[in-house]
Amino acid sequence: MLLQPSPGSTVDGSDWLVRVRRGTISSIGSFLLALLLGAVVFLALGANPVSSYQAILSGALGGGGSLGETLNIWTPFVLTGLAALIPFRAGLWNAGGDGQLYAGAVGGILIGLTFTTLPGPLLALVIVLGAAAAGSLWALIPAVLKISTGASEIIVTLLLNFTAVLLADYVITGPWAEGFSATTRQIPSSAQVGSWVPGTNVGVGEVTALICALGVFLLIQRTRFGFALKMFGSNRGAAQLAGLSLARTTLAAFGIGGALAGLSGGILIVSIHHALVTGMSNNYGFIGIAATLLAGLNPLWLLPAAFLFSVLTVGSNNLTATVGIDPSAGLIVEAVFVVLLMALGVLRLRLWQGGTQSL
Amino acid sequence: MSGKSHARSLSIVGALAVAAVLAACGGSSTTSGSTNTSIKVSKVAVLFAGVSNNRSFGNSVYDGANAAKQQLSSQGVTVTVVPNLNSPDDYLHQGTSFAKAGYGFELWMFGGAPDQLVAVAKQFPNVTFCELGVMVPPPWPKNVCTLSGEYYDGDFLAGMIGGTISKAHHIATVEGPAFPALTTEAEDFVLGARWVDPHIKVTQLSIPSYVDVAQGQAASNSAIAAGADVLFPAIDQATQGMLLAAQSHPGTYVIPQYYDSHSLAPNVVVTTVLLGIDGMTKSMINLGVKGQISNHDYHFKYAQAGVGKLAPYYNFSSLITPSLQARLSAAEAMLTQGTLTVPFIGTPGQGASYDLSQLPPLPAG
Amino acid sequence: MTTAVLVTILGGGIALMIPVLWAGLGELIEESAGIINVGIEGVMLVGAYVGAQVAQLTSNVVLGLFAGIGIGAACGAILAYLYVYRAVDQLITGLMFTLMALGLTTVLYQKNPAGTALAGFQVWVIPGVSRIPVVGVVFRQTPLAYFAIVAAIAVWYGLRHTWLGLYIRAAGQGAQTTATSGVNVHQVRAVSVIMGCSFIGLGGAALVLTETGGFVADVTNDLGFIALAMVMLAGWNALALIGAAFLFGVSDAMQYAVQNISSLAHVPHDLWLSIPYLATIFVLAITRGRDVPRALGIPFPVSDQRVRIRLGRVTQSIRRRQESGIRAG
Repeated sequence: MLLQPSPGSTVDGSDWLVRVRRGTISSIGSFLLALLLGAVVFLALGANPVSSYQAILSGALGGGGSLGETLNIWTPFVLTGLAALIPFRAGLWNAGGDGQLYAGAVGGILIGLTFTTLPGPLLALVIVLGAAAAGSLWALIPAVLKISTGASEIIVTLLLNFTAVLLADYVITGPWAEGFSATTRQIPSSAQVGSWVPGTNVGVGEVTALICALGVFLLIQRTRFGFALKMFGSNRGAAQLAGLSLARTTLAAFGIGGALAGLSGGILIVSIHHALVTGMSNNYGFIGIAATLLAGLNPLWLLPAAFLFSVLTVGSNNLTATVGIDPSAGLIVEAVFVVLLMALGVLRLRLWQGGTQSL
Repeated sequence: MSGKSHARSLSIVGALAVAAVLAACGGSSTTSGSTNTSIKVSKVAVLFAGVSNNRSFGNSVYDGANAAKQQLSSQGVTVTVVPNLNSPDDYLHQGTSFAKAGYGFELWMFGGAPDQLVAVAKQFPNVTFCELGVMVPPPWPKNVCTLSGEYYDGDFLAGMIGGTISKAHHIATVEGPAFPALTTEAEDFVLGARWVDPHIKVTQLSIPSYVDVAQGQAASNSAIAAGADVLFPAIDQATQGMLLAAQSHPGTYVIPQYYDSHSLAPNVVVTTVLLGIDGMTKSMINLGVKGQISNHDYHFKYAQAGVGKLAPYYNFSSLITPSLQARLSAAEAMLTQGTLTVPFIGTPGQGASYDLSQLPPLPAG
Repeated sequence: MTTAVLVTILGGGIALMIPVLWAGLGELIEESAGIINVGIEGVMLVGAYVGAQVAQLTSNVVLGLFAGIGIGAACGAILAYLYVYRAVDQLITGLMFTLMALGLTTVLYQKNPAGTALAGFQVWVIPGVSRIPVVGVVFRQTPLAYFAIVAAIAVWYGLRHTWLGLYIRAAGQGAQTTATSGVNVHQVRAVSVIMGCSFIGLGGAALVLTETGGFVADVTNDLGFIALAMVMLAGWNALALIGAAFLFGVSDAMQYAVQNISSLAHVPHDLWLSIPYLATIFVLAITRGRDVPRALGIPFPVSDQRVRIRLGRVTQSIRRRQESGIRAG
């Protein structure tokens, strides 16, 4: 299930090469090292590292709806992770998970506040599908630009993140505003999807994430599109010689990826917030990318990888009440972990230009 | 990473928003002291938006909580202060966290998390939760309360001062994104100035942030360029920008809000409208530790717990002439007696067009 | 009234552009050498935090500025090691560095919040010129503004007309070729990263010491990413960067100043704020990426450099022998 470099592929004669190696032992070692560095930070702030990590665990997995919170954040991590994963497989970068999430949320809330006469469950479905479509469109912008002008999709997706947040801000403070808080009006209560576990918000979102991960796995392993992705990812020149179209693959990769990220925005609206709120995504897209890398670009491994990050993110909310440290400490551990993975060579993303070079 | 400052500031104002609406609706009870000194709750958490030391809303909460802490520490009470909780989710998470950690009373000085308040209260029925300025739909859980205050009376008085001391007969307000409770702060300031000087010129500007100091400064510069020499902010930390702008244009005065800001700019801050947040915080903590909180809204009228009072004038005492002082005292008396009711004006611009004949005649000065 | 509005836009725009210009200059140096540093936002945050703390402790804003430069250089050293010598993927690592810096500064700040607004910098008024109506406000700015313009000119000149600048730009166009010519690409890139991050740290310190009056959590609020975009908008030209940063400053200043211009007052303020991003995307599309340093973002492993340098030396000796052979035979 680990991504293997295709045998016989070399630097010469290929344009781009994406290779991710993952060693389990080194990953665990990096994780422990990251925990150690986190412990140093806790100590420096006057907190007991052991109690701190205990607080994180109990904050994420303990009682009082904590596990529900953890799962609720796991859903966008998985979906934005998938949004980055699909283009990654073809050697393309999608750093716009956040923007596509917000674009999806904007699309979803506009549908939810306009077509209020639709029966509840139908409206919820339309919201979610509309969100996916909006996210897909938002991701197609960089894809089209890349194909037609060669503009770096990394930069464009990154910039569109901020543009999407501004767009969402306009919707929140503009004609659809609720008035008192940083939110729009709520979608009709009949369209608000309830949870399947009482006392939490767990339900549709988590199942959707699971299904999408399985779907992406099958997409990559069993379809021609998935084959095209893998070919472009390992040997772009050969793929084009074989008649695969880079343009079409790019469009499809970003289109599907954007749809998944937009989908997570729609899910946040119908099942959790019931409206578009400021700060709906707290760097979910970037953490999704981190989870994807940790998973070795494998959709099935993405599920536990995203869960690890969920535990760290939600659990650190508990740090204030227990050891008096700001919840952002969890972000430190997550980020250091990925940096260590990169620095120690556990994660190696190689995009280099091969081909003929004059000496 | 963006948008957080919006969330926090909007929530601060949301608090005040609902405060005003509750005031209009009535159905509340005023605070009262009690002579029962037995401590029922020994761990109190005060969760609030903003920071503890920026001379603004959060600073006010912090001071009130600290005052209560010092008062109660001898009786074995722990008061934990948690700043910088600027979004409803923060209150959901931290509220749950602190309840799990054994705290018996939580005071949420926020105003934007009514659903979270009820949700957490239902999960922890043995812990009391109170939030500033929210509306809780009935039925209220037994362990939930809200608090609110009539601060805009102070804004009206400040407007009277502004209208009197302005040599250019031109005042200006700078507001953050509009909400009824925030809007009424500036509108009542304008109304107070017009009560004193019906022909005074009014410039009203708005900026899209409560905390961006640079924007506050630039908007204030704009107002000064238009000819105003008395400025009033309905923004949070961005007021510091207004102070910077006023300082670079000698002869400009500022009357800020929330927290006594005189020391920040002694040459321009004439007085500050205190919203009494510290007083309200301290009162509620005292009630909370004695287990005397019941599930309704605690409404603070003008001058109760310092709500709506004005800070001292410091080096500007000479500006507040005896005639102005007499007028102010008369107005305060009218407020307390009820002969003067400052209207809640939730729509921008209506302070400038409000029919002055609806107000009682201006006292002699 | 219109004059006052213009003055506000112009003056406010310049004030707002200063941190972006400083950080942008740093990023421009790095990217000219082929390193894309998405950690710019993180370095700015760290520079802002340390700058504010030091200024608070010493009651001296100039010391705060220098502290910002220093901590920026320190971050640069760490990033140089990661980007250059470990040849990690620059985008991921930069992104993670930003998240790490955000977490770290927030946690530290919460433990020990800095005080209220600091005294800030005095405005240096240039006599005579500053009296020109409207435009005169350009000459009534804090010294950081003037130094930023001078620095931009210096960077532009340095990249074009000094040896180091030449090496930097060569490394940015192709690491292998440059290494084959005998240049130690790693050293050049490391130097550019450390230098660049010093500028970025300065930008962060400038932000808190002139504009916002103190550090708060996430005080930069994506300003670093805006600087990143401005470098691209300027086509990696330091002089054009002044214009790009100014565009950003003016867009930012427009959103409230337009309330005095009735025809524009209804434009949503988010639109003004999105101008820098949209302009950059537009320019990137129009120029078809022709100005992008060709080696931007591509790691150059240490082993590759060794091979290339050796290859370069071998090729040179072969050529020399060929030439002497031709002469002889």
